[in-house]
Amino acid sequence: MRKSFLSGVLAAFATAAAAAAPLQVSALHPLMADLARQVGGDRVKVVDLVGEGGNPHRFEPRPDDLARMQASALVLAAGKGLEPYLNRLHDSLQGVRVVEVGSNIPSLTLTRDGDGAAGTPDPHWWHGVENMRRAARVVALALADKDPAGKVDFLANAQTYGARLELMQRWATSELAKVPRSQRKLVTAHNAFAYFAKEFDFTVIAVAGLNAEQNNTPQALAQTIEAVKLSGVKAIFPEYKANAKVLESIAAASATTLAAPLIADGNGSGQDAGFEAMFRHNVQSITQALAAR
Amino acid sequence: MDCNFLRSPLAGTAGVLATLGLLAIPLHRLTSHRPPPAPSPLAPPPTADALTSAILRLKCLAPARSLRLTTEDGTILLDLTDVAAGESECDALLPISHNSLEISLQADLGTSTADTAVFLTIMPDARDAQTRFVLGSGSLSQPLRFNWQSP
Repeated sequence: MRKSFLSGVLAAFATAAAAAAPLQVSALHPLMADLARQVGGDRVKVVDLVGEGGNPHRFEPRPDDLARMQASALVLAAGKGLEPYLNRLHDSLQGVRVVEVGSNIPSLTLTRDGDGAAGTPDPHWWHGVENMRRAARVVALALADKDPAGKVDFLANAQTYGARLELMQRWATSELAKVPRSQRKLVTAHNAFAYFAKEFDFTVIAVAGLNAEQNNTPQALAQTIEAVKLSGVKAIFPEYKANAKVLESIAAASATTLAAPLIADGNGSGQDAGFEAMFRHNVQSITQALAAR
Repeated sequence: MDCNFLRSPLAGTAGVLATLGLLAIPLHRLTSHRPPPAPSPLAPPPTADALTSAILRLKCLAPARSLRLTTEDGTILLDLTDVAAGESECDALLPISHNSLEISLQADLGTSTADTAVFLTIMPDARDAQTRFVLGSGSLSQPLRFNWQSP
């Protein structure tokens, strides 16, 4: 009798512990980790595999990353071809669902890229505020699939987050309105801002290709300098945490200034970590460099 | 009449071939006959394949007694009563045809005569978000047309 009472109490504790255990979610992109935190709240434990400040373009899962993903209920990827290793990952993670968060977000096509990626979907969809709102719902439904009891919370969190993003979008529209039409051109080191440009009516003039590490040929560089001169833009933008040497030479040759760097891949650290901080940082850099004075 | 040629081997062979030829006509008809083509069906009924997953975002500037969204074929996408002012989202399957869609929005905005607005944003998979709105007071019924370029 006493034995069965004890085993009953232990079983009740075990059930309660299991119910309280947060859902483990692994993310292959710092901004997907941010989304999981925003939407999942206390019900999820997020494993940010790339890590704050890490570059998702350069990330390749190591064996210990695989082990952490295998221990997760869900793996979040950005999708749109950003993670070329995903097919292999699906095979290795039998039974663990991998969600390509951006897969149903409308794609823009890369028009120029030094790595031969022209014509393929531009993977940097997170630079669109509206896209991030959509993504929040995708993440909420994916989490709810694994934790049905949390569905109401996940959807409510996604909605609250979406409302905050809408306010931020309004703030950005108002800030960027200070940039005159003739200066609404983004000369960037990383061809990652097409979604931002579409949403806020800018034109992108990309200097390097998809990855910041790509080098331009002398001919391409000469074309870029010519394009910058023709555009009449005041400033050009290096990439956060990347060598700005090429941009410095373009700025010198085209009589423009080098602006504060833009964060392209959600790889900001400290106060620049996460989507909202990245977005505010970029809007402020653009406004400070290009606004009418 | 000399009928000796009928007894010749050549005539016998020709006779056998002619008989076989006569038999071959019905045999050919029997083996190659195809039934007449069935009348072509009318346009196939819409299936789940023809529906596109989408997020619907509804924003009411003032409370509404009721709000209903229907597609052209009468499918009810959303049917709400006592809707609070604010924003809500839901998922829906939309019959987007030739890159366009018409949704009818019916709303009872109560007895207030002050104009208010209801915004509907549609975000179909792989297509851009589009927003339409209805402006007015009392009972409203308005078709909202959405058009996209090919995804």
